[in-house]
Amino acid sequence: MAISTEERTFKQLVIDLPVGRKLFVGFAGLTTVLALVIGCLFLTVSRLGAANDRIVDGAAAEAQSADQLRVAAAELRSAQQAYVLDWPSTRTDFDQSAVQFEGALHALRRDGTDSAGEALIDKISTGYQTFRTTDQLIGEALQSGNPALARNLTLGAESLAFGLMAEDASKLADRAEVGRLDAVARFNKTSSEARRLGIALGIVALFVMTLASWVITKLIRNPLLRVQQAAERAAEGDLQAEADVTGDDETGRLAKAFNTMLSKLRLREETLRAEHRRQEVAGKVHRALEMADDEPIALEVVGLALAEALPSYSSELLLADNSKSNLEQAVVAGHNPDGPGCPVASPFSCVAVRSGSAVTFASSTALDACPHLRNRGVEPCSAVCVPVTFMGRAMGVIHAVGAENQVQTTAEIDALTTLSAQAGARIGMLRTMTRTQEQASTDSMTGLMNRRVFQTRIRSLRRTDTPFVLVMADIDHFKRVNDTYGHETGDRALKTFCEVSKASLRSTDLMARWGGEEFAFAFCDLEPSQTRDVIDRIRLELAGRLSTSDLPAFTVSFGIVAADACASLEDAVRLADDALYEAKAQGRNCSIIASVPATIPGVVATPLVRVAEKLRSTNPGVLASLVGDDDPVAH
Amino acid sequence: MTIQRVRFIASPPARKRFIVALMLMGLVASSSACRLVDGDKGISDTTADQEVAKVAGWTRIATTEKYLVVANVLPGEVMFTTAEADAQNPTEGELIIRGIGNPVGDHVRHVEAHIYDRTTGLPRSDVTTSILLLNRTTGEREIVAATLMQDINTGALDIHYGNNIAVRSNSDLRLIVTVDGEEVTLDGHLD
Repeated sequence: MAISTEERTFKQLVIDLPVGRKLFVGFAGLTTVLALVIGCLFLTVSRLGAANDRIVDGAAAEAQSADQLRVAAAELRSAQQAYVLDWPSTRTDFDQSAVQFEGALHALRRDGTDSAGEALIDKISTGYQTFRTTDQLIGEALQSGNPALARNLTLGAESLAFGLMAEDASKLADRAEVGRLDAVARFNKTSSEARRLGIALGIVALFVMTLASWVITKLIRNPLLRVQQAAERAAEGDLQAEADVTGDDETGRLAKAFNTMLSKLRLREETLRAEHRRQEVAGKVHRALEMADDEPIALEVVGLALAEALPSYSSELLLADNSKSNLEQAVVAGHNPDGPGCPVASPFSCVAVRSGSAVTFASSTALDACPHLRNRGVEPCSAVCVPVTFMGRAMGVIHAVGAENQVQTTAEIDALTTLSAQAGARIGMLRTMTRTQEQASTDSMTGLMNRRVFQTRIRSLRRTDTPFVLVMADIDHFKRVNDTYGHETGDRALKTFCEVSKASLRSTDLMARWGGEEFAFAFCDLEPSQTRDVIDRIRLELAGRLSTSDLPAFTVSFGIVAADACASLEDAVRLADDALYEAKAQGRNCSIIASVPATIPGVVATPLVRVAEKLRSTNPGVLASLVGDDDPVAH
Repeated sequence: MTIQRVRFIASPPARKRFIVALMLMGLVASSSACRLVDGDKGISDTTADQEVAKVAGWTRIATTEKYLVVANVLPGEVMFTTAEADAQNPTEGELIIRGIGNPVGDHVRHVEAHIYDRTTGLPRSDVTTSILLLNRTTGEREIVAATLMQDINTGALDIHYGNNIAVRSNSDLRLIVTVDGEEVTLDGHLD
């Protein structure tokens, strides 16, 4: 989320600074701090030194002046006493001493001192004025010739004034000396404290620089470290390892790009995983369907796959029958044993089949819901319908219902679409195969197995040592029926014989169209005589059926042989064929049981066999003629 | 403030130590700087006043028809009776010859007047003396008890009248001394 400049905190602003600018600002700040500290130290020490120098110099000058004042006072007193005691003498020395004293006093005032010093100077000044006044009185006494008065004034009033003045001058000198010594001590103390302050400021500056360096390093290194750690975790496969960096600097933008990359990788991984799951399920379903060699098993697989793909749904597979116009419920999956029960009648009435793709409905009560869903009379629900096609032709639909407004995920719809495609392909293929096999193994007109399949089946019976009786049948004068009533009537005659025969057979018995109007039967676990009873029943049934139909009456001849007694299957066929010819020869509409000859080499064949051989010799291709339309005996 | 305290309490021990060390270093640095800045002051104003009081004063001389008067306003001096002087043997102060002496204290000054005979130049202790102190700055008037005394060290040459009396600093003073009916006025500034 973009943060406006006004809303950003100072910390965020600092974090958002580019790394280069952070470094520049940081080190510029450090340099500035260092320069300021050094400058402050230099300035402070310089000013302190100058101030201390002035203080010390002032104190020394004051002490010197005060000492000069004290000396001048002493000289003044000495000069005054000299001219008083040695009167009449000159006052030159006294006047010079007075000038010196006044000069010293003036120097003290000029140089300045503290308030106590000023008070002392004031006091000295008044004392000096009194001293000069008494000196004037002394001078007058001397002039008037009264040396005793002058002497007494010198020892009295003037001595008093001088004493106070001298005492104060001495005090001032002592104070000045003390002040000088104090200034020196304070200078030393201040210098020491300045050094300590310098050291402290240096330490603080060093600390501040270290702190600033640490902060700058932290600002730059920590986000980079977080990005590095996130990248390492991502490299190890953890795509959730996003870099926790919020700044807007280079590192922050790197982290955002990294997180975006991770997000896309996660999305891609999720897509790949979903695709992988879909392919895995699809592969599993494909393998299961591959193993299903008939439609019921395939439908069972579809049911299981539906339950796995949509566990929270009630689903069903509606498949069209052979007419491709009626949809019937083929598979049910889910919690409802009856399935959703879509009432759609034909594929062409289904919205999903018409659209050719998956269709979803959020609510059965919605305006745009499928009519078959809305009018079903159940609680409101959601639905998804996926058409099932094979080679572009609709053959059904997968229909699933869930709770109302239950949103089907893309993965679920993809799974259903894949399942529908696989189911359509497999079921369509199985149906095609079944149809092809039926076409290859049955006679298209009568629905009976053809000769090749029959031979395969009876070979199988011989391999398993299953006793059976082989019967060959041929419709009598069938060519005549065809020629007289037409092929359509002939075909109906064939179908009628088939229907009558099949009605009399057990489930273990076999019947095939051998060719033309000739048929073959295999009766398991029966004796030839018992077989002939069955044959006779068929003949009777046929006669009864024909008596009530519009077909012309026709009969059938049968040749019977115990196949398990024959040396080979070819022998059995040949003997049954011979018996059939025998039946034809005996007037047709009967059944003849062939005698099975011994299979010892050199043994002469039975008369029946000879007849058959004879017939074959007079009419080559007997067996071939049996496949044809004509009755060989009728010729 | 509360938030800062809570943050400080919630911070790790290392960070607490770091913050405390930072604060101590700042305290030491600022303390040193303050001491350097305040170093010139050294003595407070009150101390300076006391120093001034110890030394402030003035000396004035005036004459009457018969007398020479030297008046001094000095820092307060301890005044001893003879008995006290004998008992304590002080090295400085005033020895009371006649009268009573006031004690020293804050703002107490020693106001004295030396009376000399104009004809002989000798100090007089047998005259009738009164001393009136007029503070021209405040307008206050005080009579200074004219106790006869002399400096313990100097002796009789220093005999004079006066006493200890409280006088405010930085005042313009006027002493009116009457000696046997002759009056002199002496002005001076007391620092």
